[in-house]
Amino acid sequence: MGTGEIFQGIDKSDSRRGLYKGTKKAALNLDELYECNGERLYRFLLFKLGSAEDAEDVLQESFCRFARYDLRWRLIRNPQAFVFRVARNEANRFLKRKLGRREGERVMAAGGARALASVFAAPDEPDLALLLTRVEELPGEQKEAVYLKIFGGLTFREAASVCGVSANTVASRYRYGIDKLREAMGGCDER
Amino acid sequence: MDVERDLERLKPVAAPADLRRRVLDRAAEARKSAALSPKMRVLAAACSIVIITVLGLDPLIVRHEAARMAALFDGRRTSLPSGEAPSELAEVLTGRGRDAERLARAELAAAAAARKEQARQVREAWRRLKGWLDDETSEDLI
Repeated sequence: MGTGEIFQGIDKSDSRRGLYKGTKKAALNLDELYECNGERLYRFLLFKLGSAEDAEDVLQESFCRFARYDLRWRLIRNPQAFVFRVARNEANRFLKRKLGRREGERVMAAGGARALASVFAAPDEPDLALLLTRVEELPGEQKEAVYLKIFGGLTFREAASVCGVSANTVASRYRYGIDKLREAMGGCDER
Repeated sequence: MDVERDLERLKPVAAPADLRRRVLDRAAEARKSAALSPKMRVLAAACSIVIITVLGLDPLIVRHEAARMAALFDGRRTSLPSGEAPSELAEVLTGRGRDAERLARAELAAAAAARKEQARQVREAWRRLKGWLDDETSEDLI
């Protein structure tokens, strides 16, 4: 997905190298930003919060932040990771406000209850339904790593900057999560 | 069963209708009510530069003023470049200026000289006291 298109008049390669920095044309185009990331962010927030209303509120708040970050956009090297990071931080703030600090932090660490069930339509195939249940049972950190890598379409490096940990940590969480799923689904012999 | 491939087959739910419009409308409002418009940013930057310049020049001005005052009170020449007006003390001594001003300046010069003498006496007293307590004990002092 092109990250450069969200800046008017700036081509993709320029935006990746951060060359839009200081150019007058590098104004943030919110329409394009939504086109590139809006629905993915909505589903990520749905995954984090488990409620469509909350996810919409937090998505709106995140886009308000993007609109206010007009200057900061010119310094950002990876807009895709940045938007996920902002949305994640906003979701965490929302949970703390809604549930109180302690409970909010607990939910953040554990992941929302039935979070993936609210993001994905119930699969017709029994195997897929079982797989979805098994993913729900993963620890919160592993579930988030699997979500960001597979459903968010982020690289390990991007997912790491979203979660605020190293790329190796995210890769380990992802690998442990996938291994657990393979084991649970009886696919150990296929590795 | 390839878990990763199977996970990719899961179908995400559709976002609510009008979500895009609601989100972008609110973001547009936030952008309008942003703290600083581009013109205000330029103005703020210009003001910042002026403030920084003034703050940067302040020590120089203070130093120059202090040198001038020291020259006035001690009878030395000021740091004014040649061609500018002579110091107040020189004016007093050479008889330029009005009588009242000359008198006031002469009084200032006399006060400065008196302070200088007083300071010299204090320094002398300190010099004599130096080492005075070295051979004393606390009991002697009580």
